[in-house]
Amino acid sequence: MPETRVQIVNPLGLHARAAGQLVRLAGNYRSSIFVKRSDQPTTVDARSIFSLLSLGAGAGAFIDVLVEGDDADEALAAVADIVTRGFGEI
Amino acid sequence: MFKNEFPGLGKKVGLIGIPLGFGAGKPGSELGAEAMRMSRTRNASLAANIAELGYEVNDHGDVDIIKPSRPAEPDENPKYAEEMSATFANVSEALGRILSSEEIPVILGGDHSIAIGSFSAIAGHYKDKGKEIGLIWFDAHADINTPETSLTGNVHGMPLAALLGHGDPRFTDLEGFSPKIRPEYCAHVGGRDLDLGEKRRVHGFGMRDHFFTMTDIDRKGMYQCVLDAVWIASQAPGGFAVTFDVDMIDPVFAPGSGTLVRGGATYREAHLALEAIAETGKMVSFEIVEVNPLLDQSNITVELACELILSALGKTIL
Repeated sequence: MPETRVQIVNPLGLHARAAGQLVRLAGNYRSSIFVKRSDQPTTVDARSIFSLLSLGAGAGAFIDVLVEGDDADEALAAVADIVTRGFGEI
Repeated sequence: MFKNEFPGLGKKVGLIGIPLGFGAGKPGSELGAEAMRMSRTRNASLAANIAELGYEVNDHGDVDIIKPSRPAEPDENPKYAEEMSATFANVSEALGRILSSEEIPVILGGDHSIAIGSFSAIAGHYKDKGKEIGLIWFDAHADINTPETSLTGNVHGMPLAALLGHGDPRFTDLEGFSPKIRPEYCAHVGGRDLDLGEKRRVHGFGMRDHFFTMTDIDRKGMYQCVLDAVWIASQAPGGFAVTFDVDMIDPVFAPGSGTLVRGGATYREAHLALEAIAETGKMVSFEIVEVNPLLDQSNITVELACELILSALGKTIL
């Protein structure tokens, strides 16, 4: 399962607006996309905004993105891109 | 099996009643726990409905309440603090047992003063495990009075202040640490009736943006307010507790409560909030308070309370 670690860089963190963007992005791919905080055990579905918020991933937190499916590589690249660009907030 | 068919699979729920009603100004909330247990939703008991979600359910009965055997003194403020703090020792013992068995406590009130004992016990349990927890508080009132600002001395108007470390030491010092909750991990939803002293306190604690009042809900919508409340409570590393006063809901839908205020959440807004919280998977306990069967009409508030418990535990429409 393709996987990568990225850092949350926007000052507000993975809050409601950013999490909403991630949910919409995840909906563009057939693959299942999972996210966890690198320092915590819980893995959540990137299609659930409330699960994403519950990570409480603030600015500076590292998250692991795990993707499974036939378009996994594209999905992983897209998620890593939106996170590292700070969800367009920086 | 469809997604969400059994949200409780592999998890346990510990039902516990805290039939304490002498923190309120009117009698009746002490009957709430038993009414919820007796109520039938779709012809099944509360415990059976929770079990249908896949949870293993253990009903631990009711906590022993140390009832006052005297009327309150005219200037007694807080009222019945001795009896209450003695009862909270029993609450702590019961919740400690439930949490040690890895059960999710589902706490049936009782008036809202019980949150002092219940959240103190839960926060203490997680503190011992090295984890701080958050708190989401649903209520028409801020419950952030202290004896200095309370006009009545009724403790059900003081629990949030006590948990934040303010008020009578018999409440703030429970479990040997204070505060039980840091303001940055605490969100409040549904407020619409605050005393002047409470408003000053919310602003003074720097918590304005953690209070999602009915005005905020009117403007941003319940969905957005709950997103923000979950974000706040999720800053705590250990998950979050939820305490739900049924007077947060509009009296049209929940008339059976002692301190009704018009302009509350609708039936669906209340479910929306708790369905969202269930989706996070981070709720460590759920408490429902101020259900007063003596003031109810055709049992609708009791039945609504039972339905809300199921939403908080992951029941979905489809």
